[in-house]
Amino acid sequence: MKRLLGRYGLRTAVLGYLALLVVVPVGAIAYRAFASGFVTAWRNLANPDGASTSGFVHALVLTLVVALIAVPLNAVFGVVAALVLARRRFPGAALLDAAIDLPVAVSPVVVGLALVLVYGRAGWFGGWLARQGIQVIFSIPGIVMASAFVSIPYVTRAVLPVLQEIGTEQEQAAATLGAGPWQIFWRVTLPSIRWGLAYGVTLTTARVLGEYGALSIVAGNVVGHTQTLTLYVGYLFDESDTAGADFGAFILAAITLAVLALLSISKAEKGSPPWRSRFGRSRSDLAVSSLSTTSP
Amino acid sequence: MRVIAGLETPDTGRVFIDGDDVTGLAPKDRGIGFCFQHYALFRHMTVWENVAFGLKVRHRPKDEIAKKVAELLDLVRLDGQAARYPSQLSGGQRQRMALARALIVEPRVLLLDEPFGALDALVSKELRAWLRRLHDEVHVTTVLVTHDQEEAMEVADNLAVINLGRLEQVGTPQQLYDEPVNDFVLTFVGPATSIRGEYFRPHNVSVSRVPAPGSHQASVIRVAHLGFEVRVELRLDPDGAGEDEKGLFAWAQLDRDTAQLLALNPGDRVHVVTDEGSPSAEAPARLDGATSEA
Amino acid sequence: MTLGTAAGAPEGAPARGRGGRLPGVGRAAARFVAPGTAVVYLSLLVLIPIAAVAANAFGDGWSGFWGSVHNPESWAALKLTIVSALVVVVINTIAGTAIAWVLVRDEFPGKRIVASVVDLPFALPTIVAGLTLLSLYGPDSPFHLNAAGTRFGVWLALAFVTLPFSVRAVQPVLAELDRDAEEAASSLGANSATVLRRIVLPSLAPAMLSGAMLAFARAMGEYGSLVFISGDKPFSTEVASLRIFNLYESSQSTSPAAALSLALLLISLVVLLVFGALRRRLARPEVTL
Repeated sequence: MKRLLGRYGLRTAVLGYLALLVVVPVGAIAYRAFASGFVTAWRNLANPDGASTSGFVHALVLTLVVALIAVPLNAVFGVVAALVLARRRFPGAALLDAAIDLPVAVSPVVVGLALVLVYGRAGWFGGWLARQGIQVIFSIPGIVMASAFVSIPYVTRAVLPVLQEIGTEQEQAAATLGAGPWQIFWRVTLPSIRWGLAYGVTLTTARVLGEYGALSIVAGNVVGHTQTLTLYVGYLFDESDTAGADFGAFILAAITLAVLALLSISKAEKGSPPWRSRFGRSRSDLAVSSLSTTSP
Repeated sequence: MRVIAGLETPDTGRVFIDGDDVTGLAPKDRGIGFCFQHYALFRHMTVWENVAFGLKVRHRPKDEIAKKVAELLDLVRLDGQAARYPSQLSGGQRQRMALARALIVEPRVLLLDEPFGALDALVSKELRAWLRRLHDEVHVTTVLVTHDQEEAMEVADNLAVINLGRLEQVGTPQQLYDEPVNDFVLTFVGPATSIRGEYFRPHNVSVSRVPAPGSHQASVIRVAHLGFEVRVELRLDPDGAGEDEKGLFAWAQLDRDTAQLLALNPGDRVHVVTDEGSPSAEAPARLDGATSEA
Repeated sequence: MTLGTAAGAPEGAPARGRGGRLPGVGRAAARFVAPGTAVVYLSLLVLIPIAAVAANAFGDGWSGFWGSVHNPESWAALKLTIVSALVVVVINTIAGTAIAWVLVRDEFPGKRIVASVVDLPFALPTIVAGLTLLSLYGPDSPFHLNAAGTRFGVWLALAFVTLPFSVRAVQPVLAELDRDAEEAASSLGANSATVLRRIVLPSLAPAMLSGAMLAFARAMGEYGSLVFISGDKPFSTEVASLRIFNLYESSQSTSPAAALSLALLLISLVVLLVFGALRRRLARPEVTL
């Protein structure tokens, strides 16, 4: 009897905590988005030249463009780094490992500050870049860099355990069968990590889409020019356009849910044979939860 | 094995295949085929794609690939499994697929690294016999590594026994059994029993109730009936004081008829005789050349 | 069918002489190019900028650095951040373990949805998180619970964003836990509380600490969700990240902001190192069994 009470008690406490902390707030914003945000959107759609619509469209486009650049960049880096860490022993491997994890411990405003100090007009490289006509801060390259900075570890952390688990035997077999290094990579290595990669890329995308703090320093917050969706939502709220902010938040939340769905699919695929370790669960679950500690 | 394949580089020495010095070549340029103990199958590819891999990376025309894959799958009796994934195959099927995959590129040497080690005993035995038949049909020089000496004796034309990295003896199974060059080979290849520290083949040790010249006196400790053969565990009478206890324990192997005739029981007093023609550590068989020639 | 040996020489057969050199060069290039590019990318994007912060922190010398850090408002921000992070981490480690327990050992309809709910704060952009919490626990709260501008609001936001780490760190370990030890303890007469205390929790402790480390790192740097709900009140709800932003916007020089940033980073790293060492010590007792 006591046991039953304990179990139901715990369950209730847990569900209650989650409800108050997560479910109800998210539900509230969904409600507000539908109630007032949609109305705003409707009004704006009827008036396509209105400031808020064009601001919104610009923000959406900018966000997507940044994602389309930053995510593949980090995907390539992530795979290369994972391969290097998994397959080679070289002096400084531990340093590389730690350096990849570093972005996770850095506050996003510090990220923004750091990038400005190097690539801003008065920065270490910024002056030289400006003379070449390249503007980084307050411009797309800066936004891409900030977004890439905060999302660096995800692909590596997702792919590395998979690589280590799979081992090198398949690649050795391919070598004995006559495949050259490129062929081995494309035909054997890459396909075997594809779900880990998908998971890592999904996390990276979620992170890039949600970045705020670093961008508030690096992007410049000029409506219609250098505002991503997150910055736009913040701006709307600041301007007391709560309805607009709610709508923007709703869009972002919807994108997030889509990303979450992708996450759980790729996580499930990642966990199924042949990627399931002989001991049951893939260790990448734990490794991946070490991701995303920087707040956007 | 991995050195022959090129998966490891030797510190000293060279590797020759068919007279060519391949020591500096990558695995893919040596003309070898390799089968791993845990198969190393491409898990994300079907059986068909696995087997076709070697030809695909050589950019062979599609119809040639299709023809050869079909031939090989037929050869290893996996033609019905072409669309399956390795995870859906049994251990024996996986190893056969690995063989097909390695053979499709017509290697000069086939290297099998404990190919049956991961399979259970029955499947291992079947596959072993099947491999021998395949070899007779396909005629590829094959090097097989195993620590199962029964498997080695059954499958091989020539055996090389390696102990702690040292090549002890090379010869036919018969040679190694009858003319072992040292104790290690004697005890490793084929059953052996020891009498006072000297090794003999069990069928060269006989037990009788009457003394004979050169016989040892002993007491029967236990009689184990193992089907066709009967194993008699003995304790020899010590020669004098201070003889090592351990050297006094021996066993002899009798066939059923002999055992029935003798009707031994624990405690019986018997005489143990070793055959004249029995091999021991002083046998004159010699090592072959020391370089690894495949 | 017979496979020829030397007769049908396959493409893979070594061509005399040429075979050796080319692969060697290719291999050497691959050995250095790959790690090389990775290091360059990482340096340009992460390492050099962080170094710039460290350098800039001392832009006005050591005294400038100490001055900035000890500035009353900045100092208060640092203290607030550390305290809040620790409070939230303690709460969420307990809550996270409880949630993980329910997810692993309990069965009820809709459990899958609960698992997704746990992941939600992880995927949600923090600015959205801030707005959602504000909508419920802010000035327009339907519960008339206005936490905006209070420390409680700060803690709420931090709890929201760090929850997934606490749960996700513990959950897989809990799932893999061998029940044999618990059953043995039960059969020897231990009640569930004792089993929990002496068998389960010690096994989970390293994972709980891992989760705590991640949650802590996140809480220290959190910004987006705090922007609206904290109210940014100096000495009260202005956390370090907000203070850094304010310093950046308001100061002529970037050094004060950089100094505070460096201090924040160093404190985070030190605490993480201590947590990490503690975790390693907790994980070792397995050997003495």
